[in-house]
Amino acid sequence: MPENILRFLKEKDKFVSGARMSSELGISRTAVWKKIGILRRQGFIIKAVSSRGYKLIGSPDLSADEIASEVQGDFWKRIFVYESVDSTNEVAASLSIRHEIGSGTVIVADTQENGRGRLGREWISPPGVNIYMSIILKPDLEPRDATLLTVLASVACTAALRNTGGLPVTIKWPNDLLVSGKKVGGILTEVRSEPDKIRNAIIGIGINVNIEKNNFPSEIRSVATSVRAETGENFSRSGIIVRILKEFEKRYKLLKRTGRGRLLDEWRRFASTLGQNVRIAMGKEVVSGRAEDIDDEGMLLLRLRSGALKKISSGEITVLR
Amino acid sequence: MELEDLKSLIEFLKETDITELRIERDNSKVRIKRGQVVSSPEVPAPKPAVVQAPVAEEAEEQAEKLHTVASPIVGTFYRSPTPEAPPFVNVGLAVTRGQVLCIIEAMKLMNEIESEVDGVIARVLVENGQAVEYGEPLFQIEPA
Repeated sequence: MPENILRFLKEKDKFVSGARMSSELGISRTAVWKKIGILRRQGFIIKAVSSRGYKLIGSPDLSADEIASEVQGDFWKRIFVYESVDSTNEVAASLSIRHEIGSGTVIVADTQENGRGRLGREWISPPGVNIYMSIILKPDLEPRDATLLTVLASVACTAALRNTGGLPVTIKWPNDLLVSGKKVGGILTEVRSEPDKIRNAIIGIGINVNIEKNNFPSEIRSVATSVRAETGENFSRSGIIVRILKEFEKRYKLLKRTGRGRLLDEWRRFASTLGQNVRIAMGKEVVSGRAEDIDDEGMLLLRLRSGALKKISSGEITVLR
Repeated sequence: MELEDLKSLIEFLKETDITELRIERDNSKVRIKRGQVVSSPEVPAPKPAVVQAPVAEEAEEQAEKLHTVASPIVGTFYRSPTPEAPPFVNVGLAVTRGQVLCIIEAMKLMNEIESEVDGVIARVLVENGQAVEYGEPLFQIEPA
């Protein structure tokens, strides 16, 4: 796979001869040469100087090999990058159910024809600028703990984006990523469950990265933002994806090893919802109160005017100012 | 077991001293308990046991045969993948094991609930958009 060569070039960060790569990676010099060619066609800029060898100068903005060279291992098994898909969650669902593709697979697309938010709502998905990705997991969790995956993904994305240009991202319960009150990303988790176990989970992540403010459709311009709009800089999408995947892996392993406590605490630190007076629309019913905490499954605990604590599993939340 | 069989079984029992009988055969289970009809002051003359018995026992037989799908999580019950789409299942539809019956949404996480059995949907027990609790019955399926 070309990601071996890529990893090698990145680690060395200087000119490396084809002969050395050939012997250290245990492949022929022709194979080295062919893989360099594949990487160049993907947009990697690899300088070749006779007698010195090859050096990586630049990387494309979105590349499966780039991502794999950074994260592939015991947790992340396969990274697929598509030019255009219906939706990455759709591809992930079809791969995991029809083709039995296993845990640790990541589907990324440059654009989505039919990007989805909750309950079939549209997720704006222009090409070349944003992150649309879905993670396939077969987590060893009970269905009632599936919500921890949304908590985990929100925390991982927030941590990754805070490390990207120092973006002050906060989490709005349950699944929105905000910067100064505007949505920079969202998470749509879809799980298939038998009554007592999760068969598979697909965690869809959308992040507005390099889209210009004016390129958002007018109806969402006042409520949406992007990393670029907030920082004035463009960022490599591969780089952000790598950070998200690393933060996710770290916390997932911690969850399995030590339980949910630290994850929930981290969520609380990142949340903008807690401590606020909110109104929540749940179908026809509307309740208001103070968002006090989340419970062990990530459900919102709302302190009502009467003093009673109400557990909220879903609803549209508005912060009252 | 046919209703006629049940009736004759009950008639037969009435002539004996047996007060409780369980029969398990193939896929059906029947339990007949011949109640002492205890009359209480508030209740007027009890109906003859023989009229009540077949109905009650038939219902019990039905209930024992039906498979109940309970909600594995707390959330909101949805019968279709999107508001415009047709429901995943309706009463009378044959379903197979692993087929998606509904979505329960919690924290904007869509949990597709699969059928554990092959069978026919006998009852849908909750309304679209209704909040459901952990363990709340959602569907009854008549196993194939």
